[in-house]
This record gives sequence, C-alpha cells and structure tokens, in this order.
Amino acid sequence: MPKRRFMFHTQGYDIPYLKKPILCSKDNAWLGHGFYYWLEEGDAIYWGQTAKRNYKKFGVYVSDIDCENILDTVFNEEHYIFWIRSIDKAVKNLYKTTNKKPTIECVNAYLMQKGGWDKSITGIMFQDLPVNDKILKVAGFYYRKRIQLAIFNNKIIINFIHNFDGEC
Amino acid sequence: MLKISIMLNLKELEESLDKALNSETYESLMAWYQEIDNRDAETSN
Repeated sequence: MPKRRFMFHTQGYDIPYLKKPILCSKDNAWLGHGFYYWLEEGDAIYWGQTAKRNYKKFGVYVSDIDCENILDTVFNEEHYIFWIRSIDKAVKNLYKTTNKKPTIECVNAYLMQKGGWDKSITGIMFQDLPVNDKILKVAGFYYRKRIQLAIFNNKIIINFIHNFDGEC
Repeated sequence: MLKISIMLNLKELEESLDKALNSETYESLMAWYQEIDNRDAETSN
C-alpha cells in the first residue's frame, strides 16, 4: 500500500478559499467525527454536486495524506477482517448490555475511546459503491469502489490546496 | 510535521477492545453515553 496518497476534500463554495479542511462532526457520519477525503476526483465532484446544493457551488481541495497508520479496510485484508470483527463484537456487546441497537455515533465513539483506537489509528479508509450512474462506464455495472478516508489525526494531512470550483 | 511512526498493532487493539467490552456494565455504559451527550452539548454551544 502506498504510504502517501493524493486525495480530494469537497466543501461548499467559500471565498476566501479554505486554508485547512473542515471537520465533519455530524453524529451520523459513517466513520465518526473526522476530516473526510475522497480517493477519486469523480466522487469528490459528485459529492459537491449533490451534497452541497445549498451553496450553489462547491470547492474541491487536494491534499497529500500520510497513510502509514490508517486502518485500510479497502486494500488490506488483515485490516478489513479486524475492522469487521471489531464492529460486530462492539455492536453485539453494546446490544447485550443495553438491549438497544447502538447508533453509528456510539459504535464509532466506543471503538475510538474505549477500544483505544484514537491512540494509534490516524484514519479509516472505507468503501461503498458509487451511486452515480452518470460516472459509471457500463450502466448498472458497479465494478468500481467509491473510497473515502476519514482522518482523525490532522497531522497526517501534509498539505491543503484549493484545486477547483464546480457548479451544483 | 511531526512524524507518527507507531505501526498499527491490531492484536493490541483487539485486546484493548475486548478488555473494555468485558468489563462494561449497564451502569458504566450509561455513564459513558451521558458523558458523550454532555460533550456534544458543550461542543454545540
């Protein structure tokens, strides 16, 4: 796995341009509170066009990211198995203790704080499937991973540069 | 930039999670949930 990756951060249009990425602190953020980056530019643009409509325009920023201590659930099988096992275990135990399904926020916070992940894991790389048919090269064929990195330790963000603005 | 050079030790992380889960009680979990809620409330203020 490359130790350094070039990745894309999308935000609503803003002038002056941002000097650093914005922390996502939504409770339902998939991987918890963090700085979210896309691995591919097309996904960063699609995110801007769909999730930043309130701004009318969006900005895409680029960064080099030090990926040495991220949990890479996309390309590293050992990391992926660890990730699945940890979540399953946490969810099962939290449910057993409270008799309620835990929320995304609780699971993420539990792994980070009580599981000690916040001490050594600087980010988590995760994938889902692209939902944008326009950027699929073959209709209905979801062969490409849509990859995101949630960064918990901003020291791994080596630089931060405005790349371009787009229309929603 | 401060270079982080600790390699991920998955075994250690797994043990740490197991330890936390095994010692968890309903009361300790509720207290922790409350702590998170309070922290969120402070952050949003």
